[in-house]
Amino acid sequence: MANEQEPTPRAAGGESHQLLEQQTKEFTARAKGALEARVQRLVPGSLVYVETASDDHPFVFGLSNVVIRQIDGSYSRYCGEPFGQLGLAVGSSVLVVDAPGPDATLIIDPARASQTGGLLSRARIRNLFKTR
Amino acid sequence: MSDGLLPSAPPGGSIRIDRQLPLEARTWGRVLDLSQLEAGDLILTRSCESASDPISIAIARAQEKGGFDKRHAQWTHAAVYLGDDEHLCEANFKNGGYPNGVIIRSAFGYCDGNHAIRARRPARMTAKQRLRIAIGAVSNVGKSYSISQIKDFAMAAYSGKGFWDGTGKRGPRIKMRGLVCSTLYQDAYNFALQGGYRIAWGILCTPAHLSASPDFEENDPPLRWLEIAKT
Repeated sequence: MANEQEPTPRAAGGESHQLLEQQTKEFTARAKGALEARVQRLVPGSLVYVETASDDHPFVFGLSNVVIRQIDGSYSRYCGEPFGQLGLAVGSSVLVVDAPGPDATLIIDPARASQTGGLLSRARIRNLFKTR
Repeated sequence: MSDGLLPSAPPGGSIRIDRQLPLEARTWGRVLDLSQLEAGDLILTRSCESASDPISIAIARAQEKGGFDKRHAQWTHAAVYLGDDEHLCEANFKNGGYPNGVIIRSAFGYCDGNHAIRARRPARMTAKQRLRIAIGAVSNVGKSYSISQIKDFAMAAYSGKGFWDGTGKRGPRIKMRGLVCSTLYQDAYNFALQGGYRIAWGILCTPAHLSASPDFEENDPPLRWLEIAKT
């Protein structure tokens, strides 16, 4: 009888699937206004510093505000995966949503995280022209 | 206020301490009264006999060259107060008796008659958020300085070019990619904030940035020396 009241593994899986769907829906919508950014500095287990081309002031994100875009297009919250496993390193390409603020989100897409250099170089070139 | 507590200041009282103390405090005969401080407060230190500390001279000179007023540029080291009336978390190197990198040490190690100390409290933060600063700092214990970062920092300071690009428009000459004393506080502060924000104190955060920042309360928490009572 007791078993009837406890969630079955299938039901629990259904709930987490629902949550995943909900997160995916939310972040797919929010990602439309995302800014492209490059990782400037990583503090494993704590922070990610990023810079965007449109803002001279870099942003810093706590890990509670990081989400991962999976290969199938779904989104899941960062759960302590090693940065290296996500292809994240200094110079990696990421997306910034709704920054600055408590709800700002950093989106890591492992497929694009491995792309490095472009934005930073453009920003540097732009700054060079700005001051000369 | 920004000169901090000088070693020449008279002791504000005495204290009997029966436990082990750092050699510096035992020799000088004084400890710091940290009872008015709270976990997560910033501690700034500087050597008053700067002639004996060429690294401090170079850092102070580079900070001054970066545009800071002398009263802020004079601070050459930063640490996080942990809230137990004695200990600090700091990133240091070539500090006798301690490993290079992020360590926890007694604040009484600065009670040597040579160091000035200043405390600052982050503004607009709850006690819990400030506690998270301490937690954020302690979570880095054991992490080392990046050797290339030390080299960059030292070269910028000793070359006389300073940390910043000459124009002041293109930002710092060097970028912080590793931990130094002031970025340990910066990281811990950002850890406490949570969310996604523009980084406080810029890409290159130095002790002078922390001393000059309006992100701390205007009035410093009071510090005083206590004379160690002889038994």
